[in-house]
Amino acid sequence: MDHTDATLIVMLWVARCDGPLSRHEFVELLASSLRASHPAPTAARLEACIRRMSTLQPEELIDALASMTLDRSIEQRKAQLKSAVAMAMVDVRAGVLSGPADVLPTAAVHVLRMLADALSGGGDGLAWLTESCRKAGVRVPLAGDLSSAAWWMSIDAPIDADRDRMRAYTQDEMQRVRDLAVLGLELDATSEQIEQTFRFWVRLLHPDTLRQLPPDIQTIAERTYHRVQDARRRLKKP
Amino acid sequence: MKDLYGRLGSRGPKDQAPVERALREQSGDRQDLLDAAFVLSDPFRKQQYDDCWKTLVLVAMIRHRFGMTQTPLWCTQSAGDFAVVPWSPGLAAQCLPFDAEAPRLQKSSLDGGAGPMLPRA
Repeated sequence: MDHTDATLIVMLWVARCDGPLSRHEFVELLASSLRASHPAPTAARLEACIRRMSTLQPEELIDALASMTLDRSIEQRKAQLKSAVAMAMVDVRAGVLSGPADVLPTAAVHVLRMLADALSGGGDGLAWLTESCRKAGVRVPLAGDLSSAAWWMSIDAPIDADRDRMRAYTQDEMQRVRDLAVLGLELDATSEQIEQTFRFWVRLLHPDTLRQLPPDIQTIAERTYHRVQDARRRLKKP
Repeated sequence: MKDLYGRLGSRGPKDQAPVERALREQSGDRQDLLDAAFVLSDPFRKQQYDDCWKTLVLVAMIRHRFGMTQTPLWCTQSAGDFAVVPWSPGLAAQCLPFDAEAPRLQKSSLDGGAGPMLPRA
C-alpha cells in the first residue's frame, strides 16, 4: 500500500476544490489519471473500482483511496506537486480580488503544507515553492490567523482602503489589476518585472514541461498557462 | 490557527450551542472568548474561518488515519490545535466538499472485482 499517493490524490483534489466539486468531475479526474499511469489491465480494474466509489459515502471513499496501490515514481509525484502548487497559486491570486488577499489563500497554504509534508516527510516541496517564487519576485501568500481578533483587525482597514480604491478604477484599470494579480505582481510593477515573472510561470506551466503528468492534469495546467499568457499579452499593450 | 470550536466545547460549525453558551457565560480562556466573539459573530469572518477549519480538520483526520501525526512540519507550526484529530465519519462528512449525499454501498464492492453494487441494508 502506498498511503502517500492516496493522500496526495485526496489533497490534490482538496486543493483544486475552492467550491463544490461534483462527484462526477472528481471520478473522471481520477479515472483518467489511472489510465495514464498504469498498465491497461490494472488501470481497468482500478477504474472500475473508482467508478463504484462515485456512489460512496465520503468516509468510504477515503478508505478506498487509501487501499489502492498507485505505482508513481517519486519524480512523477514531485512533478505533480509542482504543477498542483503552481496552478493553485494562479487560481488563488485570480480570486484575490473577490476577497481579502491574505484570507483566501489560508486554507490553500495549509493544503500545500500538507502536500509538501506528504511528499517529502519534511518541507522540501514547500521550500522549493517558496524559494522559486522568491527568486522570481513573486509574492507568496502567507497563512493568516483567521482565529485571531487581532489579525482580523490588522487587515480590515487595508481591505476597506483597497475596496475604496478599486471603486475608483476604470474598467481598463481594473483589468490591469486583475492581470497583475494573476502574475502575482503589485500595481506598480515595471514591464521588466512583468517579463521576468511571466518567464517564471512559463517554465513551470509550459505544456512541454508537463508531458509526464496525467492528461487531465496537463489540461488544467494548459488552461492556467493560457491564463498567464493572456494576462501578459494584455499587460504588454500600450 | 486556533480551533475555536474545540476550545469552546463545540464539535464544529454545525454545533453552535456550546459556543453561544460559552460566550454567554464567559466560561473559558478570556483570549479564546474574545477571538470567538470577534470571528464567529461576523458572517463574513465566520465563513472564512469555517472554510479553513474544515480544510484543517480534514487534513488532520487524513494524517491521523495514515499515521502521519508526528511529522514536525505540521505539528509545530500554526496548526497545532489540529495536530491530532482522530478519524470521525460524521466530522469527515461535514468537511468534505461533496455536493450531494449518495446511497451507501456494500464495502465488498470496493475490491475492484465485479461484485454487485448493492445498497447497504
